[in-house]
Amino acid sequence: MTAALTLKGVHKRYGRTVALDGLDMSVPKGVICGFIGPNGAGKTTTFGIVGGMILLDAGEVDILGRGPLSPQHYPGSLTMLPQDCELSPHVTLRQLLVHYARLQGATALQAERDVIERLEEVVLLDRADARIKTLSHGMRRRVSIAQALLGKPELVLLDEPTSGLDPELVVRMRDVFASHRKHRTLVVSSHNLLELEALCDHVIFIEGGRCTRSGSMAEVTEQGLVMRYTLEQAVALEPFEKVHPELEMTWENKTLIVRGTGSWTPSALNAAVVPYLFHTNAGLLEIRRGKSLEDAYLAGKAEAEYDDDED
Amino acid sequence: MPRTLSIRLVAVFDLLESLRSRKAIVLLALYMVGALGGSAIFVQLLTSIRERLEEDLGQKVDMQQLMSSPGMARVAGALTGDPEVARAILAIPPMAIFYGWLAMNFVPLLVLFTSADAISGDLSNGAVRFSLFRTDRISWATGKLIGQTCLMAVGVLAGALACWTIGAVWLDDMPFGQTAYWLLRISGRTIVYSFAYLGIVMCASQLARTPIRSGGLALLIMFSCSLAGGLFKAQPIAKRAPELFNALSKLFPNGHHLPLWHPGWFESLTAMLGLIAIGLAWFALGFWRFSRRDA
Repeated sequence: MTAALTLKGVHKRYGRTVALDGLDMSVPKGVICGFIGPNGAGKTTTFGIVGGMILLDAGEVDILGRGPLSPQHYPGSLTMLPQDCELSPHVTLRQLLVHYARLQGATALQAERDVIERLEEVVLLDRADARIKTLSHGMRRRVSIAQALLGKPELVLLDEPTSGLDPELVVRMRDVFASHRKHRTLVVSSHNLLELEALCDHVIFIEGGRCTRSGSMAEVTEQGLVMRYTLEQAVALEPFEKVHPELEMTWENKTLIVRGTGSWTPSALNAAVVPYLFHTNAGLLEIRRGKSLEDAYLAGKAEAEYDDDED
Repeated sequence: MPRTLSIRLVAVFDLLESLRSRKAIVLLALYMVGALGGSAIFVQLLTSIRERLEEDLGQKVDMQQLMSSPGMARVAGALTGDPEVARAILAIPPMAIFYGWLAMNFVPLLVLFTSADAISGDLSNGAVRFSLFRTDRISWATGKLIGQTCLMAVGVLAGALACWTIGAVWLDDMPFGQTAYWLLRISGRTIVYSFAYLGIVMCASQLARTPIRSGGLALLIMFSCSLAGGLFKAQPIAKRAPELFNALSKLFPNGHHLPLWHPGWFESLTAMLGLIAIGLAWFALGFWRFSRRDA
């Protein structure tokens, strides 16, 4: 699959602080990619470098196979929602968004139409002629989201897009992002892993300015291999293990984690395990496919820390 | 996308944004009030001089006679130090002379207050980050420079209109058409003169990250330039090596102040080109830094 975004050996320092320490990462085209890491991991710096706002010290950035950002040659091919930036307060939403759309190469008429669609998407069409300074924080956030979706960008970078939005709008914005899935590549940075798990089909973990893990959501959360059964009580597994010695089974409190290998599929695992659990009166409360993204992230983090200690 | 289109879009938006900001409106309004007030005082002064002359001579004196009187020629000659320039100035309607003096002294200050945050403001609040992935830095910064030049032009022309209105209402024999023509010509020269200072302000705005710092830095550079330009023209220094110090004075905006009023087109054109070059050089210096820094 062709990459929408590739970073190779990207280094960035702020004085003595190393923000990016040889970051290598690749985002496949057409995916919604979660960009996950703790505070200070280098997510915002990475977005800044890709968006041409922050100058890198060393390394290479390739956007859509065309080299680094070149807005004059490929206007509107990359858009982004930067973090903690103020929109111009004195103009109206319409004036601001039309200006941005036109900078991306749209004609005045195209820009007007596009702005109406985007404002509709973020539920702000009725405020199109209000000045930015009259909007609430959440509304401004939605305007920021709208500007990032203007035109026909091939790559969209969203830094904490739903921070400051109420739960209803978070769901709505998630649906908006999902609706762009087939048309463009979205890279979403967020600390809300539940939200990313629901939205993304590719994940990149970053820590200390380096990529610690990346892959499809199914790979990272082991959705094809692992099933989790939450029970009322733990039960003896020996009889089941004798029948299926090829399955790896572990307990996490009252959750039974079954890992299949080879030709095992989630449905085949369920067909084998669930009857046994009913038979032993285990009290099956929940079945979950794979790990949660949060578990995958924490497990990856613990692994990385262990490796560092070993070094 | 053509760079000229990007520059035009940024410039138009910057002008719109500035004209809708309270700060720019208040400053432009203050400048207009200053122009109105100053013009009114000047008209009163002219009227009282004329009345005094009429009393002394026992006959009616028109403005043309007043301006061509030997006394006026002496005053103008002493102020400019160049009889040719003095004669040229006295041929201009008095309201236009007054506005030229007012605007060339105060528009650089107006520019300092309206434009010092043009880039540093966007850097400090992060608004620049919504633009730099849509257009390159040179187009964005150049668009900002043009937008601020247009804002300054709006102020200068509004002041000229205020001055013309005062003259038209209170000065009995003001030649309307001729005064309007000269006010427009002088406004153009003021815009060119103030462009040199705008270049300095935009340089500071690209060097500093916050509006307060860029304002302070711009004030410091403007003050230093005025001081240096004034020193090179000061007689005790200039007479030691007139050509050298005259050439050095041309590196600063005030070194071109007097030649702007010169009747010869070569002198005034050279002065205008010099001022534009100074403005662009300062802007380019700021951009050199801006293009090598994180936004």
